[in-house]
Amino acid sequence: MSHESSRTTTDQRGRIRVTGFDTSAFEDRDERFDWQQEESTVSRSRWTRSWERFKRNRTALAGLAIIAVMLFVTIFARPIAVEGITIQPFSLAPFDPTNSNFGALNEAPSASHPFGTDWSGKDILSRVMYGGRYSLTIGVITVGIALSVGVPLGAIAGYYGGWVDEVIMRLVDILYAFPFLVLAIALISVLGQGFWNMITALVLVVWISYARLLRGEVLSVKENEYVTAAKALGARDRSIIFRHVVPNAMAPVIVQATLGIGTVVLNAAALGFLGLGLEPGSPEWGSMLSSGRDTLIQGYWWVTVFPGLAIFLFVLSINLVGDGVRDAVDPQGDSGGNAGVR
Amino acid sequence: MSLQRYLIKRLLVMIPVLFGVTVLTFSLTKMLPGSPVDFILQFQETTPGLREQLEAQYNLDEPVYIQYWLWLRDAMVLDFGDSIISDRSVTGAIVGRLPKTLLLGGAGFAIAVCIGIPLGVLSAVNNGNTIDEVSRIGALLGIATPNFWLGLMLMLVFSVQFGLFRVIPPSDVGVFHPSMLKFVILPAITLGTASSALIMRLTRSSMVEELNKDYVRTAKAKGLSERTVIVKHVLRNSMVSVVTVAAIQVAFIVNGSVVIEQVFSWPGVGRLLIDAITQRDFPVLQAIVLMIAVTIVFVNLIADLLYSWLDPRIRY
Amino acid sequence: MSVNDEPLLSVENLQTSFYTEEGEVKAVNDVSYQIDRGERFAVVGESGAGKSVTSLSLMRLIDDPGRIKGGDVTFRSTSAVATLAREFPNGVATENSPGYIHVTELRSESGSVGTDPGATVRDNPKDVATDLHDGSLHVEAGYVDVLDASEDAMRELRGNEIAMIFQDPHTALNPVYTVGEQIAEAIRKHLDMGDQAAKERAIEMLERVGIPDAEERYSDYPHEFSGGMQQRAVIAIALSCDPSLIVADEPTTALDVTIEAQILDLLKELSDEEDVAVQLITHDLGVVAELCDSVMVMYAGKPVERSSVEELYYDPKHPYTVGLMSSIPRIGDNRDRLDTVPGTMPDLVQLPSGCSFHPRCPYAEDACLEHEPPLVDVETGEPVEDPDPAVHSAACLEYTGQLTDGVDFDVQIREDAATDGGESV
Repeated sequence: MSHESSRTTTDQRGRIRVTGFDTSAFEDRDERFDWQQEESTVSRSRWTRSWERFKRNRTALAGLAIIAVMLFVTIFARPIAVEGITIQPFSLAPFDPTNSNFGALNEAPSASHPFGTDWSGKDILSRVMYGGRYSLTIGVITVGIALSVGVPLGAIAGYYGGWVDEVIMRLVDILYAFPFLVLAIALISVLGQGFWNMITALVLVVWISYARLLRGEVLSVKENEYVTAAKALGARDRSIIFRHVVPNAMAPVIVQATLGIGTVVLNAAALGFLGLGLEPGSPEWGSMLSSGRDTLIQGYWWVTVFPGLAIFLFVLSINLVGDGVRDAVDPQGDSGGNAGVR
Repeated sequence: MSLQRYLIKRLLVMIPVLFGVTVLTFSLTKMLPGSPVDFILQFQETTPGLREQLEAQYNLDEPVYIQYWLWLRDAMVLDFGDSIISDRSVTGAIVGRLPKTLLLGGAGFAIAVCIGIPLGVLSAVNNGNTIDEVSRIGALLGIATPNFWLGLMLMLVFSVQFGLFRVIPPSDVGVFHPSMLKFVILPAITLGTASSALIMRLTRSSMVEELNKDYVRTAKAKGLSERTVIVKHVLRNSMVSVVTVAAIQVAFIVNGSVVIEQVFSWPGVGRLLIDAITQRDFPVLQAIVLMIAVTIVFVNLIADLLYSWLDPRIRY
Repeated sequence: MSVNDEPLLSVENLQTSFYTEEGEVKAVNDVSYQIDRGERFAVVGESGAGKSVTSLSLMRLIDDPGRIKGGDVTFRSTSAVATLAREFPNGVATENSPGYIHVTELRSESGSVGTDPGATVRDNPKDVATDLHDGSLHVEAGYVDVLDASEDAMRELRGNEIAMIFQDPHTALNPVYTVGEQIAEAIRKHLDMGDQAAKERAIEMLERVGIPDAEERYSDYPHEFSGGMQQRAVIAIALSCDPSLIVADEPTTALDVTIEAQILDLLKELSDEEDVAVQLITHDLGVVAELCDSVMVMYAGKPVERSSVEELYYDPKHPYTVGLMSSIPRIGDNRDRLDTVPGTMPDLVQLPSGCSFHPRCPYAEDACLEHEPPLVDVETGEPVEDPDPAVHSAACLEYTGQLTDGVDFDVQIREDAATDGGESV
């Protein structure tokens, strides 16, 4: 061997010490030896990363696109006027949704009425376009209010525990015993019909799942060390809850809320179908289906198909978006685990 | 903690919940603006004696908590008074309709479970490939479809177009009569679809999570067959989640049957409920709501007991 | 008989890769080693070096996106050969047909079977004897070509002839079944015993691994056991069907140090008494010294040194090995700083050029950037053919003569070792 090794080997046995692995040699070395792993050192906030993940999910984006289109159609279907001032003057809908036209009863879909007409001659396409307003607003408002009730209550229950927790959770349990629709129906029967009554009934039913979910998350999040650290620094409870605990516990609730819009729309439509929704005759999709039922036997299928299709499309898109939100915010990954080594 | 102690503990917790449920149901009439009697009479023809009957029924001259107690006492022996509309006893009316609803609900639940769980398992095991994708898309469609619309569509296609199944409701046919099958099949499918989609999704995600766990690796390293690993080891661990979602589906199916009974003119308790609302028949309304809520509370109790039997760690 | 001279397990040029979005991850990149009957062999390295994947490849437990690309794994257990020959006669290799079960020496009651023992076995699979069944044909020598075996055949081997122990006993056990059942399950499957017999054997196993009140604890659930007891139960599962080889993947990493010592003692005892070979995967050099006879050090998916334990500690050859050993602190050291190996192991998707270790090696030279050193015999400098760890080999250009400055580490015996009678390390 042509090297100049200064190794010695020994025949002795006993406790060993290794010398000569001189790490100071690294400082004088030429840079060629400093091979670095390519790494990205850009740190981004959790929400930015979630958004990036969401953007890559094509089905979720498709859902979002569909909702955007529906929103657009619904806003521009008929003019919107607030306090007499016309904010939105456009009218995409070919006919006035409330205009009866007794000359064109129950017409099948045609060029002038692409979705046909109903029992009183009203154009179904226009009604479907306009009716989206009810569903969308009911969905969003209900979930919004339910969140603002359920999240604080759930957070308080989870954070403080004790009897506060017990009381709130018993309340949740009691309300949970009543199925969604049954409770809503019972409430509407006493409160009466109408837009805000329906929203009240729906909110009362929906907030409980957010409260429960958030409470569960808070229970595990509050054990984390950053919470203990905040307490040690003397932060006030309210500040700890809303700045540290809730943001970290929110992820599943956000997913649930997104999907919840779909559930609320479905149930609002069900109420409409049962005749318990808004004023009779409103172009709300569910209500349109209840009159469709009677005409179905006579073969006027368009009265049933198109409004239902609208509901279906909206709920489907919301679910796609909701699933996308879930994958973005809480990625467990389907091919996850120790990819392959199982 | 042993199973018995857990059961007792759960029963104790259940009591305040049941109490709250009865209070809430009772207070429905208290939420009305004004007296319930006046409210009801707005919508009814005031026949002689009706006002007196109602006033006797509602005990309005007593303090609120006495009213509650009287109502509750009667409810416990299933005496809900008489229906305003039909003059029959409320309990009698409900009991008459109950079998058909149970049949429909049971069939729907059976469909949901028998389709949902196997599909979920299949999907989880075939994670990522075509079978999985197809099942997931199917589940998504099932969830998004409004059940009443599905019912109407099915009626349209099968009954009106093809004349296969009956549209006319089975008022005279007994529940156990074999010809009931062709009546119940369309409504049951309608009812079970959304539930099966939810069950399938949850079974799938629960199993996928379990499949990534270490004990699966140990089981494989022992040389057990694929089938044993999945059914004996993985599915068993997923069962807690599946039981949770199945219990929720009971409530879901109750929900659904109210609407589906309307779609198919099915002579069950759901129809009775809707009629009671439109006619402001409060005794019937309260009785049905109470019955449903109490059933759900007991279903949840059974679910909790099932958990502790399924997972030995949950016997806290 | 030639049987006992041949190693129980020979791994040659094993290659396992994972095909991910980022590229091909060569987790096991041309690994060769062998383990004799009853020998205890260690695979050492940092996290990500490919140690676990090597073991999982051995048992063919690699799933998508991973795949075993190439190599040979030869398992020379006569009981394994006999078991498989009975169940899968079509897998037995004969002169005219290929197969993965090779019988090289067969003895029948009338004397030894000559030319084509495989054909005889194929025709009379039911007569082949395993340790537990009496038959008229006895396999005297043979081997199983593990990488060629069918999945069904592998399931016969797993848990039966080759058993595996994993790192975290808490998650390795199924929480919804009793510990006893999890042991009995393997017994019922492989040893063909009824419920009662399997239960009795399982209780025996629990006693064997030192769990007190074994009969009561049979019906306990995993969460009712402490960590050390859980690992003992896992060892009981592994041992239950009399394997010839146990693969232990960091069995003590998740345990307290005192428990660790007990588990290691248990493994040593079981290995000695039952003549079970052990392949131990670890990053802890102390454990290796305590338990093992031979060792292979891995870095970035490749073996960098392979030798007997004694030679590794007293005469290490590869700078990485030296780095690992010099970073162990010892009481009485009068150094100011620990000489640790700086940096981290590279991501297996992006390996450095030439020798993968050069960015962290204090002796690196230009040659190290250009040539990837093969695993060579340190005496001769020739690429080593025989995966026998008795031949000390290392993958460093020093031993092929291509380094100009050489390496200058040293292993000295400490003068202050006198009091404790010169234990190693």
